[in-house]
Amino acid sequence: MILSVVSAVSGAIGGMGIGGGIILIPVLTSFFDIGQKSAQFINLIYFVPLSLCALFVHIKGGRVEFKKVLPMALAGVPGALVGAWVASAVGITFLKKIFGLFLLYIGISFFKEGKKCSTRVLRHSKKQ
Amino acid sequence: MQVKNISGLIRHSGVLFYIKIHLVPNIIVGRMNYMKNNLKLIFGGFAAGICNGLFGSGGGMVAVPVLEKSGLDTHKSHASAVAVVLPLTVVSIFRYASFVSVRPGVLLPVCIGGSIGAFVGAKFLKSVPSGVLRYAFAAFITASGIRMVIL
Repeated sequence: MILSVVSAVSGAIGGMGIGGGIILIPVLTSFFDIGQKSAQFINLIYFVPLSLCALFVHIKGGRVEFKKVLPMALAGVPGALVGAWVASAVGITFLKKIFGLFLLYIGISFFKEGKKCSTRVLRHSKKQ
Repeated sequence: MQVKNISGLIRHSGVLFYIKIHLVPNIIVGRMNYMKNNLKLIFGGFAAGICNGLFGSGGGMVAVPVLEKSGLDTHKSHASAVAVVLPLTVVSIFRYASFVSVRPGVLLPVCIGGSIGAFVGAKFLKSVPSGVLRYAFAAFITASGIRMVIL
């Protein structure tokens, strides 16, 4: 029950457009005693129905630029295979540490971007 | 007979020559141009794939800024990033299924809750959140990142 509430919150954040999985994985591993790799697997599976719903809305709204999506997705598939292979090969503690570093990087870049965004919004509102 | 053959040969080799001189380079140059124009997208997509495969998330985090730099606005790049990450996720799931297993008792509530939450979030909060919510998100991520690196 608590699990579904937590994932609803993270889904809401994901639906707004900033990574839901980035929140879901640390919550699952630290509060629900689920292993790092299983948490990642859960997040991958949960992303599929979520993104199908989102894509349906987005494609209908004409916001998906397929010309740019195609090269990225084509190049991304071998990348995903390599990444998943590495994830299967390394140990859990090591994977957790890399994931922590990745989270740190994203958190810091969000702080920076937040500053930029707020100034941009201010400028925009001044214009109006 | 021989002359005819030779002329045919010449004509044939002429066609081959034409293909060699014009068509093949055109195809190669065209493909190179395609690659060059999309080089950033290709590298960004590869990086997004690696993140998505390795961490089970975060492909979108890499794909969105790449798409934004390629000239899309924020909304479009968020929407396109979802379309980029979906095939990567499907590929990763097949790979992950060979070495991890999950209890359906965990998977089911997560999927149901997540889908409801995503629907609500997409429906009622159409804009990308900014301000306090964004800072709270950043703080949570940074804190859990520190915790994961240290512990």
